[in-house]
Amino acid sequence: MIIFNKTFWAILLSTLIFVLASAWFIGKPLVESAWQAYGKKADNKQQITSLEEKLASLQSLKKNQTKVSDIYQKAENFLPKEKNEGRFAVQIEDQSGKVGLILSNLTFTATKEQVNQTQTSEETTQAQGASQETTPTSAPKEKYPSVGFSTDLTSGWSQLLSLLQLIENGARSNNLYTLSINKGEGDNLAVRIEGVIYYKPSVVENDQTNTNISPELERKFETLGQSVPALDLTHGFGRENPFASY
Amino acid sequence: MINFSINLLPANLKANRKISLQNTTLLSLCITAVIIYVILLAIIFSLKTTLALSEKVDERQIDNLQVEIASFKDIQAQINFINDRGAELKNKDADKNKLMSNIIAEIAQSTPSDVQIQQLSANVKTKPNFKITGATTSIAEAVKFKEKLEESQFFGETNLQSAATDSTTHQVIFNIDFNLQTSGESQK
Repeated sequence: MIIFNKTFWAILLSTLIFVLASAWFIGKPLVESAWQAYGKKADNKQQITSLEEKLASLQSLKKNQTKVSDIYQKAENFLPKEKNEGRFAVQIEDQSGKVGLILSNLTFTATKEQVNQTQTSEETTQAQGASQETTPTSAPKEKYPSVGFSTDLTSGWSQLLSLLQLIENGARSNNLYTLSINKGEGDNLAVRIEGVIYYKPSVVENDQTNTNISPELERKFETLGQSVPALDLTHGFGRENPFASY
Repeated sequence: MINFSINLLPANLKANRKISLQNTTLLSLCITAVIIYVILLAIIFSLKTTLALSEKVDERQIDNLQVEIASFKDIQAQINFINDRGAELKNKDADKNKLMSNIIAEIAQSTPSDVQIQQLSANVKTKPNFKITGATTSIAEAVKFKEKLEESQFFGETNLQSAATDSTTHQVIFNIDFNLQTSGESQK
């Protein structure tokens, strides 16, 4: 049988007080900081793994520096930081030459900063002026700043089709907005093409992807401007040149 | 032979001895518990110290890796640029129906054999987007052309604006205008 006398309680209570007080003032902060350090260790390990992967990826890309530089040049040509309309002029001249055409002229118009749809409609309204036959519509929104261009040429139908395909599938990001074709002498057509080429001064930083180029993207840049997709000419009346006399 | 053990101490002395033994046992139990507790704290402390040291080593390693990665700044900028432009390139194939080459090829395909286009103007910024002036043998051919354009998945509303017979050439001169299919219009 246990006898609960004063000495018994004194020993028990002083032990409990010592243990609880030291647990609160020493044990708890110690456990907390140890737990924190453990968590930090796990975070650091993850960060080290991620950095090592990034470094390995960069080292591997460094070995292929020539290839990366080549893709970079194509990306820069596709959507440059600056207007670079001169480079586009050379491209379009080259494309015309490929289909046996000579451009009568090539004009670049004022630069447009990024605009929203409402502004575009207003500008279109003003541009149309007194014309009552056409009504302004919501033009495609310009995603990036652009430089307008227009060109006049005399062409055959198939040459024109090839040229448009080369421009639209070309190495420079562009959009053709206006096309005017008038029948000329013989099989010749008087053509006016108007459109815009884009540029983008900024680069969006993306830490997740900036140490890797996906194979799909690599392939897309490598083949950019080198081929044109075939047109679907199977479902209509099979007319080769609608400007030719019947 | 039978042995007897008889405690002949007085009862109060016997009780005191029993209490003293009990207290000694309790004290030793408490001291053992405290020792175990202190050992536990010491283990946690050493663990924390080890982790703190390891943290410093890790941080140093992270710093070194970051310095090494920073030495690839140029190639990193190039890759970042490629990926940024790549996002736009991926969208390029999405709008094939908006390419002018595809549109005029579609118009050519929709032209009946007895129709000759004389003038075609396209402007995606203004409505109507397309205006065609042409010559044909009869109004029926002009209507056939209009209906073929309407069937196309490229084009929306199509209007035959006028058709008149030229008394000299006996050709029917017609005007058709139409718009590009918008996303709001139903798929054909």
